[in-house]
This record gives sequence, C-alpha cells and structure tokens, in this order.
Amino acid sequence: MPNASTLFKRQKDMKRGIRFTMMVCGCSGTGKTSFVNSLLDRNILPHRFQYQNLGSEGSIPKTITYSNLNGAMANAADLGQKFDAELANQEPGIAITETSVEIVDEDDSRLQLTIVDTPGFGDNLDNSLCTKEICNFLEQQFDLVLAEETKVRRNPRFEDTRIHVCLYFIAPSGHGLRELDVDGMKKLSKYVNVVPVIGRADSFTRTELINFKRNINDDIERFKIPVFQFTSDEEEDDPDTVEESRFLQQLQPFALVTSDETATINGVSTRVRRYPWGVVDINDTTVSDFPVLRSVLLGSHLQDLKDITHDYLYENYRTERLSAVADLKGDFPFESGETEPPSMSNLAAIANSKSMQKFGRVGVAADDAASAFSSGTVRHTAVETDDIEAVSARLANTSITEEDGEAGAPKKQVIKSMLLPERPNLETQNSSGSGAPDLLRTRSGSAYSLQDDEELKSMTDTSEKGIEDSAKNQYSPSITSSRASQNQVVDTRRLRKISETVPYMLRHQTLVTKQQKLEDLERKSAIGLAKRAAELEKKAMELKLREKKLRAKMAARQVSDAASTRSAQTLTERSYIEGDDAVVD
Amino acid sequence: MSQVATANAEPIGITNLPNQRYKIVSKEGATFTVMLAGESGLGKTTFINTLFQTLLIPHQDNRNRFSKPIKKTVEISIVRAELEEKNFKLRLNVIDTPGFGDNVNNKNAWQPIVEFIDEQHSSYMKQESQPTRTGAKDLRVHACLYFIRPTGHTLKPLDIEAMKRIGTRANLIPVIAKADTLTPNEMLEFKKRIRAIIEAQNIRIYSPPIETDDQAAAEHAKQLIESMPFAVIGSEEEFEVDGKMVKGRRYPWGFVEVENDQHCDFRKLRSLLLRTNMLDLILSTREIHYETYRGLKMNGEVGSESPSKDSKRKSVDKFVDNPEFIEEEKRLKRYFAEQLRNEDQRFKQWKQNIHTEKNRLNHDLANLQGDMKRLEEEVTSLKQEKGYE
Repeated sequence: MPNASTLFKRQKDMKRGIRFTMMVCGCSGTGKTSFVNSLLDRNILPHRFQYQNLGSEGSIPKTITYSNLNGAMANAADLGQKFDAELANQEPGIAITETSVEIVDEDDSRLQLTIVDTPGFGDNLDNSLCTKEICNFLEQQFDLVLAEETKVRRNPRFEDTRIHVCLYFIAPSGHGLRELDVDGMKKLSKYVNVVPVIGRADSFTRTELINFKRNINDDIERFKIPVFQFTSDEEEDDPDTVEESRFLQQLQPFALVTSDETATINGVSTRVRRYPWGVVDINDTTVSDFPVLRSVLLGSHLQDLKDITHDYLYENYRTERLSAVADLKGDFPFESGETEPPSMSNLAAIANSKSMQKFGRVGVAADDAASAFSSGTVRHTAVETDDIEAVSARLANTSITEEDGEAGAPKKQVIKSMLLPERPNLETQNSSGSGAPDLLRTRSGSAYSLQDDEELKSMTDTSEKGIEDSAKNQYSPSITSSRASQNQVVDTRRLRKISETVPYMLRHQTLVTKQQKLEDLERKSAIGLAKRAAELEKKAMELKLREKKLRAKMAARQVSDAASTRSAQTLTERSYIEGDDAVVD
Repeated sequence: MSQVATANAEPIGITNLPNQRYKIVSKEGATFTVMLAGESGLGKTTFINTLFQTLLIPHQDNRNRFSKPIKKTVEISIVRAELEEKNFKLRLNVIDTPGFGDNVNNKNAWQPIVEFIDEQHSSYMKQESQPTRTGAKDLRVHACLYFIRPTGHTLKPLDIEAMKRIGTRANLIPVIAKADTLTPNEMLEFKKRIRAIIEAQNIRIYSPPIETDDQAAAEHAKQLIESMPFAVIGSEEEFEVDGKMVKGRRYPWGFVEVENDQHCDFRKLRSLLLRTNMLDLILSTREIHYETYRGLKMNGEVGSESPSKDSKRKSVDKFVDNPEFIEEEKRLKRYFAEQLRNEDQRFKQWKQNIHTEKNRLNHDLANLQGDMKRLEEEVTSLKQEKGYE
C-alpha cells in the first residue's frame, strides 16, 4: 500500500504525466518492433524495410547516435528503411534511435513513454562494438543527470533521459544464451534494469519452451548476470505482493508472442498471429507472457523500475564517477579499461616488477649507504654522542616533514638512490674539508635538508603531473599509506571543488571521446578512400596498357598489310620483269 | 543394312547394359555427404533426423553445455551412418558445424567450414594419385545446407559472406529454418528478399538441371527452383492425425505437419536431396567443384620446383594465408611496439631525472664548498685574531 508521500508524489506525477524510458535490445528479427507496437496497441514503429507502408499513427524513430566499424558513414537505422540487396553484405554498425509516445489512460493519467531502439545490434560480423556503444549511450545519460545535479543553478525544465528498463530479446534458439547475450546483458546491467525476454516464443512447443526457459535461467545463474529480480519482503509486504512477485520471478524470462495484426476473438479485440494451422492470440496467457509483461511494465512495476534506476544504479555510478574525479588521477575507469594487453604473457607487469625490485633494492642500499655515510662522517669529525643524536633526530624530522608534504616521499627516495654514484666525490670533498668544526658540519647538514625541501617543493610544483604520477606508480608500495593520509586532508577541499569541476569534466570527457570517435571514423574512411583511389588508378593503368597493346596490334596489322601489299607488288613487278626477260629472250 | 539386320533378328542383349549397371550400382550402394551450416539453434540436428527418419545425430546434452566455455570455436563433427532401404545401401556422412555464429566476433567463422571442404578435395586428389586407389575415402561434400534464421527481415552479413564462400566450393542449398514462426505473407516477403540478395551478391546456389526431354521432370525442377530457399520444419515426434502417424509439431494453437506442402517445403527439399537429384548432386560435385579445385591446384603447382618443397610451402601457406593468424600477428606486433615505446619513454624519464639530480647535487656541492671556504676564512681570521691576541 502506498503511503502518504508516495501518494502525493503520484498525484503530482499524474498532473505532469509520468516519464518512462524503455530500451529494446536484441538481434534483429526477434520481434522488438512488433513488441512495441503490441505494447502500445498501436502500430507506432515501422518494421524493417516497410517504412513506406507506415500507418497514420506511425512515426519514424529519431536517430540519436550511430557508429560503424569499417568507417562507412552508413547509418544502421537508415539501412533498415529500404531494402537494398546490393548493400546487404555491408555491416550495418549500430544505431540508437528514440521514439516518444504519450499514452492517456481512462482516468486521464498520462504516461510519457520513450522507446529507445538499437537497430543493427547483433547484425555485424564483429559485434563487440554494439554493447560498447550502448553502454556509452547509457553512461552519457547518467552523466547528463550528474552534471545537472552538481550544477549550482539547476535547469527546472531538465529532462531526465535515463533508461529505466532494458528488455533484452533472446533469440529463440532453444539451446541457451550465446556469448553476445551473456556479454551484452552483463555490461548493460551496470547501467539499467535488464529484463530478459524470449522473442517469438511461438516457435516453441510447450515442453520446448519450459526447457529453454530453464536453460536460460541456468545460464544466467552460471554467468552471474545481474538481471532484474522481482523481489519482495515476506515480512513487510502483504501476502498478495509476495505471491505476485514470486509468480513473476518464476515466470522469468518472459516468453513473448507479439503481432501487428489485429483481430476479434470472442468479441474481444486483440492481436493475433495467423498461421495456416491455427491462430495465436498474443493476449492468451497460456501461450504468451505478453499480457503479464505489459502489466508489469506499464503498471505494477513502473515506479519500481524508476526507483531502482535512480536509487541504486545511478547512485552506484555516481559514487564511482565522483571518486574517480576526486582522485584527479587523470585516467578514468573506462579509459584505463581499454588498454588491456592481448592475451600474451604480461610483459609490462614483469618488467615493472623487476625494475621495481631492483629499484627498491637500490633504494635500500642507498639508504644504508646514506646512513653509513652520515655516521661515517660523524665519526670522521668525532663529535659527542649528544650531537649525533641531535643530527639523527633532525634527520628524522626532516624525513617526516617530507612525508607530510605532498608527494615528498617518492622524490626523497629518488634522491637517495641518485646520491649513490656521487658519493665518492662527496667524500673527497669532505676529506678536503676535514678541518671543519663539527658544529658547522651539522649546520650545513640541516641547511642541506632545508634546501632539499624547498627545491623539492619547487620541483613538484613545476614538474609535470605525469612525472609525479609515474614516480608515484613506481614507488607505490611505500607511498600508498602517506597518500591515504593526504587524501583525507585534501578531500574536503577537493570535494568542495567537485561541484564546480564535475560538469565541465564530464563535458570535456564526452567531447574528447566524441573527437576520438570522429578521428577514428575519418582515418578509416580515409583509408577506404585511398584504397578505392588506388584501385581506380590500377584499373586506369590496365586500361591504358590494353589501349597501348591494341594500338600496337593495329599498327602491326597496318604494317603487315602494307608489307603484304608491297610484297604482292614486288611479286607482280618481278613477274613483269621476268615477263620482260622472256620477251627479251 | 546391318542396322536393320540386327533390329530384325533376335536381340543380342545390348539393351541389358543399363540393367547390368543397375545391378552393380545397387550392390555397391552409394556414398552421400551432406554438410549442415548455420547458426546454432536453427534446428539443423532436428532437420537431419527428420530427413532420414532416424535419430542420426543425438541432440547436445544440456548438462554438458556447462563444461564448455561460452566463447566457442567452430567445430566440425562428422557422423557416419549406413542406411538401407529395399536392399539398397546408402553410406551417409553428415557433417555438422556446431558453434558457427555463436560468438560476439564472428569474423572468419566460415574459415573452418571452407577449409574442411577444400581439405576433402585435396585429400581425394592425393588418394587418386596413389598407386592403389581402390579403397579411397571420399568425404567430398555433395550438398551443403545453409540454415537461415527466420528473422523475416534480411540476411546477415555473416550469412552472405559464408554463403559466398561455400557456394564456390560445394552445392549450396539455402534453407529457411523453423519456418513455422513466419506467417505466409512474411515468408513470401522474406523469400523474395533472400532471392534478391542471392542474385545481387553473386552467391552461387545449386539449381537442379531442367531436362527438356522429360516434361514432368522439367516441371518438377522448375517448381524446386521457384521455391528456393526452402522453408523447412523439423520434428522428431509423431502424432496421430486421422488415424495416421504424422510427423509434426503440436502447438496449443494448432498442429504443423512436416510433410504438408501448405505448411512448409520439407517435401520439396527431400525430393531435391534424395529422390530426384541426388545423383546430380554427386556428379556436379565431381564434375564442377572438384574439377575446379583440381584445376586450380594443378595450375598452382606447375611453377614449383620440387613436390616436397611445394608441400612444405603449402603447409606454411595455410598459416600465412589464414586471416585469423594475420590479424593476431598484427595485433601482437602493435602491442610489442607500444610496449617498446612505453619502456623507452620510461627510461628517458629516468635519465632526465638522474640528470637534474646530478645538476642539483653539484649545485649543492658548490654551495657547500663556498660555505666552507667562507668558514675557513673565518676560522683563519679568528685564529689570526687569537694568535694576534
């Protein structure tokens, strides 16, 4: 039972109309378009290749984004508009399209439904791009909300474009989930409630459907895909809700039969699929879970899905994102995720660990040497024990202050290791200045450390962040602890800044990724063009060669013709001459 | 004169030659190899079991599925069977290709299939050139059924690429699987599109020859050509309809009969595969596909110096030409270069650090020395003061 606050909210929602965004995702030909049309009971979306017989209610979806692997600027949504057999072998890439519909109920409540479609999903040879692209899209919607939230002055007309539910259409293979399904659902479920559904369930007999559902559920469990769960609290909720959610949970994945064809069965208008061997009523719960899913999506669980999106998925994303920004590392989770090495032995890791070990040892050795050096010099100058203690205390002090200072610790270690090769030089200097009094020596020592600090600071200020980072990474084991303490100190200051920086940061990132994408596209298309140009040139060369050959042949024939006529002439001449001779004879 | 004489006299029996041939052939039996290609879950196994009315290939055990990783490679599995009908033996080889089109990245998924077909040709060629070749094993693919997913939209690029490559090597017969999920109108439209694609993309599919001397046969062949690609339904179960046992699928909304021309093209396809055109399939494989392969291979080998070297090169070529290996190589090279660059950068960084450190320390030293000189001077001045005092 809704309590007062949710009731109030609902009333407010009623006036404004509820916004709900739904994504349909899955291979082409699994019945996504039919499902949407059946869900709304209007033929809103045009079927693939049937844009011309779009009804009066239909609308062509708006393309939001599209991308393609091979650099062709073809849009998967456009490719679907008309059938072209010549282009059928081209990979369509993936597009994301959007259609908005307003549903008015009997009691005047309005529902602003946005349907996001993903034409081209699963149609490519290499489909790894598809899930990536969709995830990017979902991330962008979250980013938009995050940027809006952190703004000082918020836009009152801001439209929340987050996707509340994603229906993942599983192809009716009868076997189980495929790699694409597992991969796709797993990745998407980070950003959206994924509800797996079986498209075209009318290709299964009853036992086959039961088996298929079991296989899918087994696969979901085995690959740990976090799909949407219908849960309830047995103690708090009333028995009806508990019963209902249990029923829905065991019904998952929903088996859908959908159609564009309307008919009247027993006086009730419904949608049917008409086969020579029978008629399937999509609203018949014995053969299709469509009516159940419809009531879940547009009725009982609509608010649930919205709440989970906002309270759980978005919140998780926000935490992750903000902590990533707060770290000011410069690299963000999705960026670092992209540069994973191929499945070879991890060369980099080995190299790193080795160099680290070596460096660590050098550092330790330097430490030892340094301490030996200081004690040596102390002994050399033969001061009293008090003085030694004073020196060591001071040294310790300096080291502590250094560790407190930002990024001081790593530099110190570097310095120590750097010190090593120069030591003999120093010693000669020392020996040369052997007559110096002990007091002065300690003073110079402290001066040294002071100077050290100052220079360090200036160095860290001026030096590039990258260097700092690399230094940090290389010496991470010793630094992490000091870093943590640093963070606590700085966190409050940084967090205050986040609200100012985050929107810009996010925008900057999207711009950067967009630019990268465009550059990629440009490069690929340039390569394609170059290839085509080369081909054309080759053809031209061939044609020229052929022309030359033909010309040569023609010339040869002409020559031979001339020669033959000439020889004929000479023959006749000779005969004449002979004739003359004969005459003479 | 003589012709007339033989015609008038008692027949000497040359007309019996076909009968003799018939005896030999029926005693020998025949070998027939069918390949099944297409994505998983399209009813390939069910279809072949329906076609021969026995449980030739067992279905994949669902419990075994869990032992395999989700990323699959295309396998080639061969099932041999001997069928007997009225004392005529048919040695049947069914080649299945599980795993085709199951991955996220299906680039070159057709490679194992194409390679298998080529390999059979080459192995047969090798066996032919042996001194004794009576017991030659022949696994040349006589017919390849390519199963198309009944999307009702179009063919996928994967289907087109695979069909293009198979079509030039074997008799390709496109088949729309699970035809009971498309209404007649959808099916009509779908078939039209597929035919258009096959035409436009120059995919070579098998078409039965039209014999001009036999009216009925020609009519039948025309019908077969018209109904390409065949829409089929498979079922291993039989149900009783009007007192007869009929293979079919029983849905809550109706009963689909496999052998009903109104419901699907199963009978046509069976007629093409077994009843009317099996010999033509076998012969055309030998005369067209095998010959083209042989011709290509022979031509390729003319220029080589020695056969042993050539064979070695061939085996190397197999790896060099395989696009998968080429891609892998490229990727590794790129990765290596990147690593090298990174390491180089790091070393440069170190070097720079060392350099700046050295400069700094030298600077320190100079300072110290200056200090010391000053102090020493002080000391001497003090001493002088003392000595003076």
